[in-house]
Amino acid sequence: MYSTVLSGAIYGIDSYLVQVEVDMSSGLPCFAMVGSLGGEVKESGERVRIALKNMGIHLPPMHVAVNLSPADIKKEGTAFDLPIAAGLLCSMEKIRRSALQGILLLGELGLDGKVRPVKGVLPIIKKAHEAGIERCLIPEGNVREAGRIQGIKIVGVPSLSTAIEYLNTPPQRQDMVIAPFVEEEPLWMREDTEGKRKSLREGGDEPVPGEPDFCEIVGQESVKRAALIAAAGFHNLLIVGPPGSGKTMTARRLPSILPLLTGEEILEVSSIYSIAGLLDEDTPYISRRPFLNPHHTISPQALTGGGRIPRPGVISLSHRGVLFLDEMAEFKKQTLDLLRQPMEDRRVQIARSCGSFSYPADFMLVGASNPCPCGYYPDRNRCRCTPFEVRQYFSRISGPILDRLDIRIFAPQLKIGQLQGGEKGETSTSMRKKVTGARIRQQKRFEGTRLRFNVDLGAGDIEKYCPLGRKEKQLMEELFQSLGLSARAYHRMIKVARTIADVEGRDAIGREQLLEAACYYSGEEAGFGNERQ
Amino acid sequence: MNDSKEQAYLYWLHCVPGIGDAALRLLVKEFGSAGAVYRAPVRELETALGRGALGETGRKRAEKIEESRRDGSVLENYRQLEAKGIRMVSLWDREYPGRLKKITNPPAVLYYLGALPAEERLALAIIGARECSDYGSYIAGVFGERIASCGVNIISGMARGIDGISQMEALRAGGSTYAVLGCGVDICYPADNRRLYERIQERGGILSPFPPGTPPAKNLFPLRNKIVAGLSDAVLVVEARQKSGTWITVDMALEQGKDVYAVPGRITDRLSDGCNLLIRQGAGIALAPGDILAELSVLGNRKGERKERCVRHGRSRADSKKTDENMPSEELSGQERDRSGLLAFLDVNPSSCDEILERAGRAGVKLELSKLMAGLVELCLAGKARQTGGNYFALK
Repeated sequence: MYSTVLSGAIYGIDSYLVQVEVDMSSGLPCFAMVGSLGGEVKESGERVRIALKNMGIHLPPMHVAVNLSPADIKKEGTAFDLPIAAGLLCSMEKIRRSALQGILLLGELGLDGKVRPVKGVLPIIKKAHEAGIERCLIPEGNVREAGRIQGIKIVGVPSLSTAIEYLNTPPQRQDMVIAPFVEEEPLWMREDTEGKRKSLREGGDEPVPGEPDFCEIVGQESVKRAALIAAAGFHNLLIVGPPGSGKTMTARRLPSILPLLTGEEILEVSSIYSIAGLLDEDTPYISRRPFLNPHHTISPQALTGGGRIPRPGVISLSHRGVLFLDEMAEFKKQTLDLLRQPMEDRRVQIARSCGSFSYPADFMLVGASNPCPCGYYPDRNRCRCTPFEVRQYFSRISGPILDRLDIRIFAPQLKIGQLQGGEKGETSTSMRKKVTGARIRQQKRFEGTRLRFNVDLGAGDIEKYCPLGRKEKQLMEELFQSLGLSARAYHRMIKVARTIADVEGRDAIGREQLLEAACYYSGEEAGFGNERQ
Repeated sequence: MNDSKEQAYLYWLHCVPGIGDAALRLLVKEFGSAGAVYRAPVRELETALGRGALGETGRKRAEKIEESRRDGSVLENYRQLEAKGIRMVSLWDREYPGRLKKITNPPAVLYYLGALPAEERLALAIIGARECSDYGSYIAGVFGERIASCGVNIISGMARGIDGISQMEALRAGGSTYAVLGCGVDICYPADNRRLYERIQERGGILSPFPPGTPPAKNLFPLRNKIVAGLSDAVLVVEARQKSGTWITVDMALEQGKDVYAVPGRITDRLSDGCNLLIRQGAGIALAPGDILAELSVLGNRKGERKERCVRHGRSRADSKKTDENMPSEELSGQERDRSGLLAFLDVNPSSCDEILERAGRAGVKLELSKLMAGLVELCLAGKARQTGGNYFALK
């Protein structure tokens, strides 16, 4: 008896549907699985056989063949257990053939017949929805994750026996066996599921619960200002400062002032996390801007994504969020250099012998560093590093990366009076409003182009989108001369000035914005150790 | 004794490993000239050196002399030295700096690039920490510039920090300055000061008691410091930690009976500890370049013929008072020109934007941070302030 069940698998960031074909015929009794299977897929047969046995269902002594089609793509993961079991039961006529029409099955089986959650459910369900499939039978632990996809019936099953019961119930009464999952969204998220536009305009009036807030940082007004501008234009940010000056605190709070993720973005980010196996029942999807801070000993594979079939790396996990590199000067040069291509293309390409994979990696890079080896420069009471050592410390960060850090700010040492002052600063919500306002201006400006934020502006676009008046041009000339700017730095400064103007709601870039932008950029290097000699 | 042949032999003898200043002096005294030493039999050298109870036995040293004699390229080596433009002067020459002759155990040979300091000019040593604060570098610059422009030679060690800055500013003011190195004169140490090294040769001189090619080493610096003190009429310490090499120079200066001045600093600044301690011990307090100039011109008076020069070149005492008023704190008098009024909140030490904002707030000036940043960069463009790195600003 031949039967077929629909399932799905992931390949890199992409997913595809898989036909699980089961055939039972007379012959020498055996259980054969084919279709370019990875190790854990091959083991699936054993799990299924024993799970069925423990339910009191014995496989007949026949020649059993299982094929996963398309048979030329390498398959990985444990999600095929449930569809294989269903296929076998169908071949044994324990499940109605019609019950398996138009339904997609996913799930790992335990030997006791329990259905366990699997990785990558979200992108597979998305694919199924696109293919016009109406129902999915998935592990109970994955339903909230899959619930992000609207317009497809999600049925969570706890065990194989429930699945059989569900499938054997006539369609009109099936919902009484297991009700399809309906997501109840938290209040603060509700308004941004309908689309990008709406979320930008209206979203973000309320604080996101459980997220650290900028008002907890005392003092450091200039760092906060720099963070605001960086967030508004999606500029990369470098914070330099002595230990304990709040570099990490600031970076941690950056996601809270970025506009809330739109429904589309939530799906996008959650898909990556789903593939990486980082979603569970408590965090069934990613609704907040990701924040990742890898340690400086991170391996290149962990950063960009690795493995024979590459799993998403840290840069992909920080897609649409913040990638924070603390102690940036301590990272290996080779590791940091890996960021260059993803920062340019907003995706990372990983080539393997089995194919080339591309993961999204559209992150905001926030670097933090001490100003010198001892960390206290320019406080000469504590720092005895030579100017050479100070300069050397920054030369460890590779030039091209440093070049892409548009905004550089020095976080000064906090004074005890400031810590005890207790005067609360601006809240994240209020800052996010400003950021959102600036984002809307950018969206209008770049309507119909590939550009999204000011940070994407290339040298050619600057002429078009950031026109300068005669006086402003003259000022730029003066700055160019006195700061000894490179052409690249010149453009970067105008980009930042454009964002400052957006934050302040101005159409034209004025003198003040250019001067402030110059303040965030004080030299070709990070701008330290250039003491007068 | 001034002929070039004798100089060549002297150079040879000075370069023999194991022959220090004392041994060299002893040998030249014993045999009359370096040339005679070159020709003397080993046995005699041995006895002469042995008599001098110079630690290492006479035999070993005599052997070393004998060994380097066999090389035979004495004249050629000296010619190479001349080709590099390096000149040498020995204790027995007329050109040997008179001030140095007066100290105990002066170096027997000095190598120099450029010129030797003129005897009739007053000389001040400006010394201090290598890793100095912005305050220190500012003060070193102001003192170096003002004092050099009055015709006083600035003597220092061309090190990073205070030394180099004061010498650079002295040159910028059109004065002359002399650097004493703790290595051969042909080595620019620290390498960062290459530009200064080249400019000093045009407007002053690079001096060293060590044969060219000697790499800088820790144990050579005390002698360098001794010469810095020896070449000067007074020593000014701008910034020093409680324990630092600056103390060697100060001790040497005091030993040589020279005045020591110190620039006071805040008692919380570790880099001012040395200066404040010196003041407690009785050093002169240098509040302005005028203080030093006044003291030096008194010194000049005592020395008779020098008086005229100092007065003509520089300013009289009354004049220097005027300079005083322009010293650090008052230098901000150009406030009318500063439209934003921000200069009042800046200091010679760099302060972060937040600090400046706080200061302004305390003075009752309400400013937006973005306006403040823009205003500060504007001041930098106008050449009145400088951005020292990150968002730190200081007075220029």
